[in-house]
Amino acid sequence: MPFFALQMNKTHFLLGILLSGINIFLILTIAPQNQLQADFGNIFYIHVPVAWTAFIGYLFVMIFSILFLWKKEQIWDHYALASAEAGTLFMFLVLLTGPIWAKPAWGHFWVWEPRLTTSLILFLIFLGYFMLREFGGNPEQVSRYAAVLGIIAFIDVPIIFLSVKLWLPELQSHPQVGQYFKNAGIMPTLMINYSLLSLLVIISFMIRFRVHILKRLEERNII
Amino acid sequence: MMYLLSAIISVYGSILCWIFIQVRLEKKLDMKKKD
Repeated sequence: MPFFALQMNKTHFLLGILLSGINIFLILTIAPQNQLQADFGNIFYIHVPVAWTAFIGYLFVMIFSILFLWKKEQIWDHYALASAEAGTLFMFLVLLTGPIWAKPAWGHFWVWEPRLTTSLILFLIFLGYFMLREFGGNPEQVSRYAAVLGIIAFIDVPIIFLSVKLWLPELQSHPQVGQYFKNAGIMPTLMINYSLLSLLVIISFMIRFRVHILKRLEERNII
Repeated sequence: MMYLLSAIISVYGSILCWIFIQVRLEKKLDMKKKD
């Protein structure tokens, strides 16, 4: 049965479309702006939830990888791979929206400061993860190596989050945690965007997982 | 406004394209299964 033939998946997707419309309307019209920036400051409403959603994707890569190494059941490996793909899609969007905001704010698309650099490292680690999956050789061995890499890669997530505190302030370009917006009015828009992107990452994960299972069956010539 | 619109379009556009591509791929694999 196709993915969108299921009523639940269809409802998720339609809810995602509805929330996207509401969210874009809120960001463009009534969401409070940062006083120091023009409307480009509202990119924050997208950039931060996308980053959190990517980190949640990577958290699940770690959890599923641990479960795979522990239980040795292939299904956990498929879950880990689908989470890694959904997480990396969102990480790519973080690295896309960040420079779009940075250009008007800092005058440059990219600055080699701690948070940007550690985010890029995480993205590159997962590109390596996919290359390992694709070209690693023996599938059983590759699944084990990929699980270990998925667990180790997650160490970078708290480093990204704490990077504004871990490195000297002179090296930072990013605002400190909680300094960007001091207005409590940002929460409704931010929460809608968190919910929306969580929904979209779940849809991306579920459909990708289904594609993996179908591909696996095809490889085994079962279908 | 141009920067904000670019960010919105790139995020939602990329996600929708991704879902669309996966749905097509899934449909293709599902058709093979039926054959």
